[in-house]
Amino acid sequence: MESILLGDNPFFGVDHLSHERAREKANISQDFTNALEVIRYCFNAGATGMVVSTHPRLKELIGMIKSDQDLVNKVQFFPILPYVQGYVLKVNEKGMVNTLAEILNQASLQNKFKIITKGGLGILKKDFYSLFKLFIDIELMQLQGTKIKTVFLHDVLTDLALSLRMKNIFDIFQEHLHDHYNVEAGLVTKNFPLLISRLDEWNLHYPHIMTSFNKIGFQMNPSRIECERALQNFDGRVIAMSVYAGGYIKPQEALDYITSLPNLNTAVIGISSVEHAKSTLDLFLGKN
Amino acid sequence: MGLLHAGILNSLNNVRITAMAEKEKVIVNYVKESLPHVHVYEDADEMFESENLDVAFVTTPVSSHYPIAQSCMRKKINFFIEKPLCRNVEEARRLCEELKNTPGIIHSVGFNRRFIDTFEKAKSLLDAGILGDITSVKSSMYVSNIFTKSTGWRANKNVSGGGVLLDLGSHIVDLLLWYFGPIEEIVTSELKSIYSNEVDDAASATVNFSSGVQGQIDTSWSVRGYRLPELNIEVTGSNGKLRVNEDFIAIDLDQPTIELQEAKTRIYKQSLSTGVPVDLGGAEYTKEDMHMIDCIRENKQALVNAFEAGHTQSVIEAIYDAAKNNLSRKVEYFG
Repeated sequence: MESILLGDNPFFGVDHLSHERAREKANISQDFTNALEVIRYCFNAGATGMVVSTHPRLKELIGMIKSDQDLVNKVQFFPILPYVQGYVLKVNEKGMVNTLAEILNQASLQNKFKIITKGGLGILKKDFYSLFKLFIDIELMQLQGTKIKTVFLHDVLTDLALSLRMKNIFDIFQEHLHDHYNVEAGLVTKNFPLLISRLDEWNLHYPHIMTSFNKIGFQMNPSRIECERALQNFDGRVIAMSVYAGGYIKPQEALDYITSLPNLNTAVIGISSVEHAKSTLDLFLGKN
Repeated sequence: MGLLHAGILNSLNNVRITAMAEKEKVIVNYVKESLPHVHVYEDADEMFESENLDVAFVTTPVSSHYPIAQSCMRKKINFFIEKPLCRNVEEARRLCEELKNTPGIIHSVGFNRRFIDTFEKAKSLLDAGILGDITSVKSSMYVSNIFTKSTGWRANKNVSGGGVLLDLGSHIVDLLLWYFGPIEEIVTSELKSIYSNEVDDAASATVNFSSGVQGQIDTSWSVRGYRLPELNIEVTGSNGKLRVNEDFIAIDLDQPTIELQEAKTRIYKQSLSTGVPVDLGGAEYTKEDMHMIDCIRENKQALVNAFEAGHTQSVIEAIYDAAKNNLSRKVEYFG
């Protein structure tokens, strides 16, 4: 592989093979000292970026990374946001008004001022786009002071917008990131062929797409063959995720499959220890 | 949930979303602007009067399920209702009676665990009798959601009908009835309100099935370590054990069977999964919606119809009743 991005799931004990195993790991992962050692090793060994998704402890992990200036210089972040499910759960638990008040409470002074001058909480209750941009801003606040390479729209929102043909979401995401952060926008999807055909139909250019590619077709919709066909016709950069199919496929098998595909030279890999990092990066970056 | 089903349906071949009834301004404004072909109403009845619908997907708070289902029946519209069917057994009984008097309507209830590959596979293995005579079942469903005083509609008993037992526990009961047949009696049950004033945050029960199998049910939305909802069922029989959850089926048999050549094996979801036309938050939602559409096209009853969901509601009500009176209680099914 040309490029390996480090995934953050193992640091938070997220395990796609078994939630049960994840809980066991989460107990071990409480202390991020090990995570920092893994991150340092990976970036010295050739990893080129780190994919982070919204997690209650992300701010803590980022804080530890920021305390190491060498890492701050080396690590390029690829955040995935916004975490819509979390907001939906909050609305169910606390109601819309309380949730919006809580969200606003987390916003920067500048954002609060903008919202208040536009009409306060009422505007958020009526205007989806203001709310959407506020979610992006709040979640990116956690990464202030780090290098952000590409910001990816979370698959839940990408796929919902795709399925409901909400073209505006894709326009606004790209514009907002460009105008306010000067960074590139990417998309995460579980429906790669449908996404690229619709982007084509809408004449939208999204050069970075993160999606599942693995030997057994896990989370590749509508089928592995359709995803492979779509990959051949896509002229942007695809970042392969779930290359181990959530821990079901052995590393060598995973690598053999993804390197057999055209137009695929970047993969996100979750790494849980320095030993694991050594064997995985050696294998994926061809150092064996 | 409404947007999720709308997205799936909008991506299926030969399915078109024509109207939406929604009160939340942020969604109403967005849909009006972005999906001009979708007619937006603030009132479901007004929508049913004005539109010629083949099916309605009801994804509103539980208190509105029964009145909306009644409106669907009056207009002879097929309907899908998110689980649980109703707030209580009385509403469920009346809904099912009215359904019997309104033939020709296809109806389904969103107990989507039946469409998860591992639970489907476990059903086929249990039906094949790999465990021999089943003696006991332990089941649980947990999620880490509620850790502060809840103020949303789920915490309001008049709107939600109940707490975690009705919300998550109904998924467990639905699968138990599907796997093992009727639950005859609630032997003991206990409810706990930890953060909520009006509803239960944790619930447990010991039950007896008509078949003689003994079962345990435990559920909570206020336990740590469950980022996503996790449903576990552990079955013991004369030939060994089977444990199933969303991720895998673990089987430990005394003797291999024709269906399972290995006595000890673990079947992961990865080996069972197949792609779906569109995946929004889990293939089970897509399969559930495709099943509903197929049932309408083929004019057949759905896998989890309102009558089956009514049985689940009867069991849930019996558990609530047994806890309240601190007594064992027979389950009274209707229909």
